[in-house]
Amino acid sequence: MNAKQLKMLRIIFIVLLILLVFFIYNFTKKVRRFDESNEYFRQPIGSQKVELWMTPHQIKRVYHIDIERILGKKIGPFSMENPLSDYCNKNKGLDCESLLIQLNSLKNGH
Amino acid sequence: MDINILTFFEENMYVFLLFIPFIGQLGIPSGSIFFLLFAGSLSSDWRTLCILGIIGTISAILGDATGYLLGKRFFQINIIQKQLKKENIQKIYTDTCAYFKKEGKFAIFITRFLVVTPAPYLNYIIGLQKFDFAIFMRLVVIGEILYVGELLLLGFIFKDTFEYLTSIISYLGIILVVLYCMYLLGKVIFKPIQTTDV
Repeated sequence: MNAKQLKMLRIIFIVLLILLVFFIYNFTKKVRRFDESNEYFRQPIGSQKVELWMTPHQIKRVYHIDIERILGKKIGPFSMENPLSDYCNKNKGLDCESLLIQLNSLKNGH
Repeated sequence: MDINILTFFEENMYVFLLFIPFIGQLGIPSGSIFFLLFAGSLSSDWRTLCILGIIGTISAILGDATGYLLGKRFFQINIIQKQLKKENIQKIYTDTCAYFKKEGKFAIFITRFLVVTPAPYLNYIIGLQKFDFAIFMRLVVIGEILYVGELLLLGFIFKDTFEYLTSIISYLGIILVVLYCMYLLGKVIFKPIQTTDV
């Protein structure tokens, strides 16, 4: 193997290392989010509140709220991981605070 | 027409599981990991889980077998045969054949349930290499039982938070692939320089 080929391989190695750091960072972020969610949902349901970090599907499943009707859109499989905050940030007509108040009152109504 | 694919899946779960793992194992992005986790989360009891497991496993195995046979068929195309007669391509093909003869069993098995991302593409390469079909299928059957079983079980246990598992599992697979590529490169780059005594 000549010096030029070895240099190319070293560059590829460094690129892979950067990618590895990026993927590990994202992986640990996801694992932490997963762990925190599990921890939160283990609490008695009476002490839980609808939070902005929750996904619409979690809100629908755990608190039996028709979240799609409230948000005015269907939640597809590729956006299931998006937190509630994404939906009230993207739509300017949907205020996050009043959305939370509405969802928590619906939750307490069950 | 406003179709909610998730509601549609909930209502036709068994039919979906006949096709999604099969398509996924052909290399067509079908959200296989997600739908298996979702199916697990929808299961109310172990009986449903077992039925889903059987359907999903058969579907995935058929997908793997089809990928292998397509790879093998691809090998027989005249254009490919002509390309393989070229010296440099012949060398690459012979080297990869030797590699898969040595590491193929481990690669096939591990890509079924742990490093799932390259699995469909590996099926085509394995078919192209004309790897022993019987050995391939034995490894595939065991691997797919573990793959489908683990995803359904994870979805069943983590009903409320399974959404995060799709990207966690995908990231884990990618990280392992990158680590393996770095290991192979590292063996070449950091090879100790052999000195000879004069």
